[in-house]
Amino acid sequence: MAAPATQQIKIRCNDEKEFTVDRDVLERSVLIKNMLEDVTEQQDAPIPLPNVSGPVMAKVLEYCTHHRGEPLPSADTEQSQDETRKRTTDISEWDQKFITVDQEMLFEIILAANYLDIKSLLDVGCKTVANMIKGKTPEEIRKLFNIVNDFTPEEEAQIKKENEWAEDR
Amino acid sequence: MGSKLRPRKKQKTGSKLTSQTTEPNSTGFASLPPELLFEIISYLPPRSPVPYHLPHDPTRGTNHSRQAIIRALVQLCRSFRRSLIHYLWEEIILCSFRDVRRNVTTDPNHTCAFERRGSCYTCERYLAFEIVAQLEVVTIRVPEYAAFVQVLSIFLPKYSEKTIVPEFARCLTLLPNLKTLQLFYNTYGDIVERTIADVFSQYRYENVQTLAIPGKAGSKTVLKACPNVRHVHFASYGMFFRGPDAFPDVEKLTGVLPHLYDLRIQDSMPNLKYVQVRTQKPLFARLAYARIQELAQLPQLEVIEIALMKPEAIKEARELYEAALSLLSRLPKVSGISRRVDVCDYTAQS
Repeated sequence: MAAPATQQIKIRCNDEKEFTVDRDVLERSVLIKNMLEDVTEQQDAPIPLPNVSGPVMAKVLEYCTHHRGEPLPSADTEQSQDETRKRTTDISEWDQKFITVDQEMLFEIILAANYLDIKSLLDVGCKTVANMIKGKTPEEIRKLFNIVNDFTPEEEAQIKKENEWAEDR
Repeated sequence: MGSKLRPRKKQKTGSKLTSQTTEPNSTGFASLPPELLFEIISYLPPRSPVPYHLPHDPTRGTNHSRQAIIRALVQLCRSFRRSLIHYLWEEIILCSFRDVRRNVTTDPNHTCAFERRGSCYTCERYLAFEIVAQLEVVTIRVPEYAAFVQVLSIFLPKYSEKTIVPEFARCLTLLPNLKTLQLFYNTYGDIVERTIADVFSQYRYENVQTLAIPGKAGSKTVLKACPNVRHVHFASYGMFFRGPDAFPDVEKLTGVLPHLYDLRIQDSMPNLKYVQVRTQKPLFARLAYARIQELAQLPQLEVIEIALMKPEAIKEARELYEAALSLLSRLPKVSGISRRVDVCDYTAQS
């Protein structure tokens, strides 16, 4: 007997870009999984995702497709797994290649992973940023992420005072 | 903390945004909401373990340490500072040469013996300055930071001890969320110890739940000043318990334990539920074995932790494990209590 065909689900991004994706791929997202479980009848209307753009969703789907079939963290084990996962800052080879994108895309992926509730993708993004900032001075981090120093001279003076005592903290 | 979400950039398509068309710090890293910054922070090296069970965090005093990274982040821009400043002051750790490394290494005439002998005049002087200065920040300069401090781990120096120790003890009362206090001090013919005993008897620190102290007589006053402590950790051996004092609320005892006979454990800490026994050197194995036998006097005991501190003590750890299991099985059964022996290997992290 032939295996039942995988259900296809349509999603629509905030730029009207639509994707038709296998249900098991989309269910890497806890947000979408819960949405699908709440819908009892099959609907043809695409699921609207107002916080994600088409190009970002394409990247997210690339990740979800690669990791389809892998076990999702259950609510019971999540906390202990969280701790273990966070202790290792290693990123697998495929994930590392996947996340080698320009900075704007990197932060869009992090925001999308957070919105769609894809824990493992959020991990990859956050670990990447954590690794980027380690060992850098404030000036180096500003330069790396194009952050503007918006402190007033008074605030600068206060920070300097605080830090002259906390240089080695 | 009243963190405020920054206005997110308006809906955008793909990569059309450029720095010329947007407000400063409204895109990329600087635009992440606080909850995502916290998520990123959770991937930094963890906070130093206090109480210490093992040699110190090797990143301490380097720009790869958690504190150094957070310090850099709070200096980037206003929104980062607003969101992350509480992380910077959640722990104040000034207990070793590493914590004043910058000052000491820029002093060309200084040959430090602090780590080897636990004593160095120059380092103690720097530590004294730092203790005063950092407590000044959180209690005087920016008093709202006082609520952030949860962990204090301090070496109380002999340098200017008549001033530093009383001021330190007073400042502790200004830290409403202080949960963990770790103190180190040398005795120097009991000079600092006597000051500690005099000063700490004047205060009570109701919120402290974990206390790490040298196993010296002066530490008893500190423990008495912390009436709600549940976990006591001895950082060193010493004559801690001589006298009739009892600490019935203490449930967990770890570290370098005094001989439990000296401790008169059934009288001084009768309600212990968790006791750690260390296997540090084969020489101490017999002592550790004797300690396990003495734990029979604790009817509430639920967990014996065999702490493997040196790889060569693995054989002793196995024997102690068997002895601990046997002891727990002989304790009177209490409904709702399931007893166990844990073996924790601290050698891999050293």
